[in-house]
Amino acid sequence: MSQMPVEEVERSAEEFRKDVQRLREELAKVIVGHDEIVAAVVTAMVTGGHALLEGVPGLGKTMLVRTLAEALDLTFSRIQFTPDLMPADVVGTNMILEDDSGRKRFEFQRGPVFAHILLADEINRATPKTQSALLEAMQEHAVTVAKKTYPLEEPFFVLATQNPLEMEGTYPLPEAQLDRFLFKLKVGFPDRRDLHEILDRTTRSETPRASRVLSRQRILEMRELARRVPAARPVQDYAVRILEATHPESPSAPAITKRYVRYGSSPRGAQAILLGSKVRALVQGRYAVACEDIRKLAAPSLRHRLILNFEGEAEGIDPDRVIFEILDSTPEQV
Amino acid sequence: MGEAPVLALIHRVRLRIRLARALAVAARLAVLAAALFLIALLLAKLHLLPLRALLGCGLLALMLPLAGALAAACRRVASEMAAKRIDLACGLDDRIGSALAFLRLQTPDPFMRAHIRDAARHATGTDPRTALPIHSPPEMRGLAVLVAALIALGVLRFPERHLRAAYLPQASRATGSEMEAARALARDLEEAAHELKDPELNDLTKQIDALLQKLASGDITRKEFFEKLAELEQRYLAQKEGDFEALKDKLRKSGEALAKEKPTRELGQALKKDDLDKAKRELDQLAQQAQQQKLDPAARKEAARALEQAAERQRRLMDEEQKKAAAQERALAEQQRDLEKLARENPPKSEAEKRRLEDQKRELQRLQKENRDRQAQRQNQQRQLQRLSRNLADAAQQMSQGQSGQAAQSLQQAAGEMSRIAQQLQRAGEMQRVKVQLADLKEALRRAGQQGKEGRQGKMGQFLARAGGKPGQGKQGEQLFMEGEGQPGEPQLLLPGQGGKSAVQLETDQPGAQSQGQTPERQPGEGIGSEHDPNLQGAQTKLASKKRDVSVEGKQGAGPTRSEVIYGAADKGFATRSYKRVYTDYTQVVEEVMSREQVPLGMRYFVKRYFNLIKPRE
Repeated sequence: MSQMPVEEVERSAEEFRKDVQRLREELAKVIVGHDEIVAAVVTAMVTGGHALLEGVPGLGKTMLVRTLAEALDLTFSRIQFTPDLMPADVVGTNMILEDDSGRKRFEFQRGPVFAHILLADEINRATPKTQSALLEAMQEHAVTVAKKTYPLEEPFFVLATQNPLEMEGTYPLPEAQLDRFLFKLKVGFPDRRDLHEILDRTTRSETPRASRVLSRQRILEMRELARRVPAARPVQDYAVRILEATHPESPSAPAITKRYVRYGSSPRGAQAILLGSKVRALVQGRYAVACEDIRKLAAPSLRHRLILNFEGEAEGIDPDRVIFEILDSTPEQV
Repeated sequence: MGEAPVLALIHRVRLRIRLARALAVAARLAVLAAALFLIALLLAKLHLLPLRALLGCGLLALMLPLAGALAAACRRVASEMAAKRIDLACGLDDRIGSALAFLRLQTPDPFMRAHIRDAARHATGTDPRTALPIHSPPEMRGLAVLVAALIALGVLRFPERHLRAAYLPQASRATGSEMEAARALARDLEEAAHELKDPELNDLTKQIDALLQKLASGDITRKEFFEKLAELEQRYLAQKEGDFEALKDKLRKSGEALAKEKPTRELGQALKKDDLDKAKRELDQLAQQAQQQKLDPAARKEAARALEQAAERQRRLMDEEQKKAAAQERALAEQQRDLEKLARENPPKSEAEKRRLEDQKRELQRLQKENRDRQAQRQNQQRQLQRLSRNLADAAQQMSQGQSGQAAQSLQQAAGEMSRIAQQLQRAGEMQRVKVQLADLKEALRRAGQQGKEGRQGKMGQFLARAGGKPGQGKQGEQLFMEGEGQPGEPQLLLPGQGGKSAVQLETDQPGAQSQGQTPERQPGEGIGSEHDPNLQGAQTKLASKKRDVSVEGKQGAGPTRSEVIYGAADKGFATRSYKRVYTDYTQVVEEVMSREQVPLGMRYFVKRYFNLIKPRE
């Protein structure tokens, strides 16, 4: 093995770290606080996954996504999900158009899904039929209308938001759709310092705006690089053991899992952990995944993939609590 | 590839892990070994463990931690574990662990190689001591304490003789309280010698005292002691023994003859009751009456007849006894002849038969010797009886012939003879007492050899201390003591129902308060009842009753009863004058019963031992 590839890797990794850092700095010009949320959103975007943001209105979820789109040289669409929203409103529809010669023809009018970054605002307010229209787009990165498939341009990144409080007239996302989100992020209320900062920035005459820092091509390169980050078998084994521990029938499951969990995470959960960890490793200046990365990414990757049983629901058990106990009870090394 | 620093760091940390394990195991085992050696040293100091065994224990105590440390150091340490320790301790985010995993791959990709290079960079600046600091094991404090205890115990000196005696359970020396009992019995024997004014018994007690001292100091063994005691006893008793019961029996029968006539009735009654002193006095009185011619002819005739019959009866009894002894002698001689004849005709074939024959011969010889000894002992009594009989016969003849003066002289001679016989009988009784005391002494010493339990000895010591009437020993019933009439200042126990009154009484203002909880008295019916007592739980307690404690002064009277004295002694010790009186009365009864009844020797010991323990203390 020559020395060149290694140095190339080191240089690429360094550029990756700097690009991500630049992007986060740019986002920070507009978004106050929420560092972890920003980092997770960037991670999800780099890995090619989608993120579900959960939080009460007014916490800056939409602003975050819009700022992200501004900072990247990417197209951005926003769909406000409502109960009367139809699938065609999302993916688009064939329309009859008449040309100059008077001939009429069908032409596919692309819906808002044809964008690099799609903000699906209050996704749980649409009917399941409309929600499922987003499924193909999220999973296949393509939409099919009238037996014709239209691929979506890469990168395609869906950021959905939902309000956990107003549950009346909502349609909770089915498990299959939830599983398609790489991370579920909980947007919390900002602290006092951040609130001051928010007020300072948003009540002046000038509203700060983000500049474009990354091109579409660069994002695709970064995605490619992140997937090349290796994970040593003991580290990967740690992720696997954590995933196993989410299943109540597993011998390594802690008591809380056995008591409150009906179904554990699918393998997509481990995939999400590992992919997110790879990005985090690069951002942290490492060339391999560490157990610390696994621990950090476990909660956003698994919290929407755990299905609690009746007892868990009745007692209001937070899936995060189950995940943290799993992390406590699972040793890094066997 | 630059993996050398990673591998070197892992190697160094593996060595440190082995060292840490060895130290931990060694410290744990060292505590165990030190504790065991401490026990061994203590046993050795108490002379319960030989020096060689102690050295073995010391060697084992040294080897145990070393062997444990070696075994712990030789245990395999996985490189992955060492790498993980480094990552965790130095915050390297699995750089070393992942690098090790990538190094084991045959074709690591560029990212893996970049990672290994990164790990090597971090490993170069990592100190294994930071990765695995070796601390002093927590057991070291306990070990230090144990070592200090070992040194202290090593310096400490135990008194050798005392410990030997105290801890050897089967020591040849007699132990505490039983030995005390033996000494008490020896003192009793000395008192008896003093009372009897018997120089031989006095010598015997001195010799026994000397033997006891030698036994206590360990100069002679118990076996030697018993042999010498048996020798002394045999020597002493050989001079004194005789068949005094046969003599008494003859006198009783002659007394029956004398009791038939009025002038000699008192004399006869005294003889029948074995009261030889009174018999002597009666004889003297009869002699005086004869001398002063106070007996009328009829009385003289009656007395002569009675004396004649008594003499005749004595002669007849002596003849019978002689015949009996001769018959026994003959029978034994005949048995011996038969035995010899049998041996001649059927000589013993086996060793067992020979032994049996020899045993029979020896037994026969022993019986013959006993018979001869008995005959020899009886001869003296026979002579005394013959003299008495002759004197009585002479007196009878002289009375019947009206020779009052000579009759009086014969009667005086008979009285003198009676006095000598009485002295002999008295001595015989005392001899019996001496024999019993010697038997008790032997029993006490036998038990002293068997006893070895310190706890019992301690309890006995406590009892003896309490029996001595030490202040503060009494526990129960102290408030029940009050001044008695006979012994001012001395507390005595008043028992309920014995004329005494409880020192503290409960006085109530309400008459009903005294009968609380009591059911009304009813006559029992016939058969099984069908209902329970309606007043099952008794009347409700009347808390409103006014009561006060009143102390009552002792009242004048006859003083404590005997049972009060005994109860008081049990609580306060055996050092009161009243108790001494009670004890003396009881011991006299006990002595009489012990001599009269067939009390087994073992039980006799316990009775004697008990009375020794509750003996009044000065």
